[in-house]
Amino acid sequence: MAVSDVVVSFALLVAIYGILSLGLNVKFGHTGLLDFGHVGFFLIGAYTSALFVLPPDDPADFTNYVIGLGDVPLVGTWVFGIIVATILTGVIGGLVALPTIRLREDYLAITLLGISVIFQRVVQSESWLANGPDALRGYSPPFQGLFPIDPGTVVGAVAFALVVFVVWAVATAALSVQRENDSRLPLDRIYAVTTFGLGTRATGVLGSRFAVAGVAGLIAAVISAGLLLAASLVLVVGVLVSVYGWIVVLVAIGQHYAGLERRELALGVGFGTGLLVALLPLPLTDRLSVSIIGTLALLGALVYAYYHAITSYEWVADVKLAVIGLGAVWFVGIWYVLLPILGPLGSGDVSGVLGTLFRNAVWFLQFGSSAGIGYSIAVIGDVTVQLDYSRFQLALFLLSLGALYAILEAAVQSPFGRVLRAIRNDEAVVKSLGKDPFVYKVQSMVIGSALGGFAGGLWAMYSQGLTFRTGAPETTFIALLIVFVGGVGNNKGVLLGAVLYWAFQQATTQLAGFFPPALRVNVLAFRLVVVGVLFLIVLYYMPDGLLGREEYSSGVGES
Amino acid sequence: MTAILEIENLQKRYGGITAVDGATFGIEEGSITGLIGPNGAGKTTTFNLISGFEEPDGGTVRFRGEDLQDLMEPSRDERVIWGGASAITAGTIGGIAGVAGLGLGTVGGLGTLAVGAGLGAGFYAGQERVRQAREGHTNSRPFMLARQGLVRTFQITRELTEMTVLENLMLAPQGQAGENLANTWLRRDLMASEEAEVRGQAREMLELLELDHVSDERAGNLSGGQRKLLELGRVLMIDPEVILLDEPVAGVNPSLTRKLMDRIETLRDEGYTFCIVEHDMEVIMNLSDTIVVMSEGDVLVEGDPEEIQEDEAVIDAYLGVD
Repeated sequence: MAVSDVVVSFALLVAIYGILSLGLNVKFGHTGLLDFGHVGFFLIGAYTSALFVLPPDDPADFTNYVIGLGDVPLVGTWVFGIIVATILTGVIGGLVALPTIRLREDYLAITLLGISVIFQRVVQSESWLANGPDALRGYSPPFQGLFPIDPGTVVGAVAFALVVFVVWAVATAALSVQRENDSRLPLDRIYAVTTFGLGTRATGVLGSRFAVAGVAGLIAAVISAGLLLAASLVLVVGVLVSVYGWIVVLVAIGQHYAGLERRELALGVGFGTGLLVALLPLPLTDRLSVSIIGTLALLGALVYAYYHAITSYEWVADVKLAVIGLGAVWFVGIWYVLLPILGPLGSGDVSGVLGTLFRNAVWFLQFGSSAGIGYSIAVIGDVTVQLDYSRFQLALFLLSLGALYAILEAAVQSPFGRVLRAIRNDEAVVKSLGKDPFVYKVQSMVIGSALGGFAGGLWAMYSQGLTFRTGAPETTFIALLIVFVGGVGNNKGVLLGAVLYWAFQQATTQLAGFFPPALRVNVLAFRLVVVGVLFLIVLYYMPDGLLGREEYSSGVGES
Repeated sequence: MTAILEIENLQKRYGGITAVDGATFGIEEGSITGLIGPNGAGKTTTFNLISGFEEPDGGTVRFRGEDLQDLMEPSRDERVIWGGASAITAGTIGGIAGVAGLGLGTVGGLGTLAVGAGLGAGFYAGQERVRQAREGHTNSRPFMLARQGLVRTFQITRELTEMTVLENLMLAPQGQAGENLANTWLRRDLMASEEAEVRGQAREMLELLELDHVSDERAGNLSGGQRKLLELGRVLMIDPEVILLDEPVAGVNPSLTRKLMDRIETLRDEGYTFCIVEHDMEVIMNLSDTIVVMSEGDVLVEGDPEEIQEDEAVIDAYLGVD
């Protein structure tokens, strides 16, 4: 698999769990309502939106469920389904809050856990409701029928432009942040080009640099749609967007670790390399006992060396997280970029190497040949260039995540958010200051649950089938882990937590690939144990998470 | 002058202990009333009862002639939430019953939904009325009193330890537009201008209390005396009518105590009413217009500072002999 496909599927999950965890963060992080039943709203959101896009049930086909409005235009679409799901989960969140909200933190958590289990049981066991206990399938994600899309048509160009818009806006927003931290690189010039001359001058007019990023994305989308329709320059647009994305990512990584000294950099690289070396026994020997024991021993040695270094040397302790982060970047670079090239290179397949390199560089597009196999660019005449559906879905999901994040930040960076944080801190004070904590707690539950429902809708879209596993209590604890890792009450931290969690999942899934199929299941199941241990470690050593509580000074109205 | 707070035959029991036992006194508008008495006399409990943080077992408290229990009726927001929830629940049941149970189709289903919602909202309103009409129903919503101008501080200071000093103060003003969720999205301009104003007020208050150098510190990092000051600043930010201060100068240094006393007197002259529990006799004797001495849950003596200082019973029970 090319690194681009890995990143896209990874980003989809990050978006879903990011939204889910943002919802939990409103409840727990900001207001202090520990909701162990957050997944209940995820479940209701997933089933509600799925039921709206499904066609009417057909007992002859052994399907049995309510609603089923998929054949009705407008109402039976994903947009409508997810909006209904979001509102419905918000209302249910409010109703659930009414009798429970007066409970103390721990009792509240247990009660809500119970309520979520009731939701799950009802959905699974009521056969008329949602095809329980069987899976609910038979729907497809929005617009999937249009893909693989031909960018030369109007529909294709519009879909293409939408994806360009999202990617371009995100990249430009990131670049505008990076530009302020660094003057050594010619970022100003790149920024001036990618914002089409709007640059810093338009910031005052448009309000903020994020508005500039949005406008730049819009311009890029319009231009690329024009290029596609007029001259079908798919490859040109794809290359431009991809290269822009890579520049932003590489600059971000460079900037993040720019403060490290040479020996600290070496340590990070050494850590990443050590990780690679530890995995070597797996592909090298077929004897399972040898490879597993060897890998575990090497991993143990690496962890011990790291632990020894951070406890013995002060300069290492100062950069203990940076070392892991840099090691991970190094590891990912070798694993996904270098190793896939070395294989074909060893067998002398130069065009294969170039193909892989090109596919990684132009991550925005997917390539297939008319023959259906091979990705060689040497025969560019035969190669079909496609906008893959996953890229389109990525744009949709990132757009949702970005919009919800902005809406949520607006709500909590305000006097409203200040009251929520005061409630978390000491409810009696809030009462003595003339604010009704009950009203605020209910609102917090409504917002948080609605976000959970929205995430459920995206999950239904992503998974294309809801089973008895959907809405299992462990999902709540994954969201809670994400909140704790990133920083309780810190929305930015929650996004970081979601990225880290899914990076861990991705890495361990890859690792499990080395094991024979019979053992693979066990390895994947064992991950949950590791997640639990990590949870404990985070709670013990970093109770405030990686980013900690955000210092809200409520910048609103600051002169 | 009229009594803005009238306390009549107040009773409060905890298990076998009667903390407040028939206390009766009044607090004049625009005056400073000192509340003193030995430990366990029921001063703080009286404060809790007056400020609505606890419910009395008997007796009444009147604020501006109105019974405290009536002032603590549910707020409009609370009624909307409960009434709306009842309507939604009953409406959903009605709609499902109409479609699935009676087979009425879409229009009929909507009709039963509306009927159900109406019944639900009506049920909520009805039970509210019954509850209010019932003898001896109690409301405990201290925030309703704070909204109407009756605020308190705590003896053991309660800061929002995780928030900054500035934020602690900015939380206090009543009726901020940005406290409404819809306004945080739709009226950001209004919110921003109001926020700037509140921030200005808070900075002024911090300057006055000599806390401006720690304005961005977390309140949890402050010393005990600074916390007392912050708490005083917080209630002043509400701009109330009656302020109940529970040991406001305990742990505050003498020069600042002097300043605070001046400030309280100035505020009194501007028309604010104070009731102060304090063990520092110099402060209480200099500051108070009236002093109420409590002992064993009841009012022992009530009078001006000169009378109190010479009262035999008070000297026996509390002041002691020099």
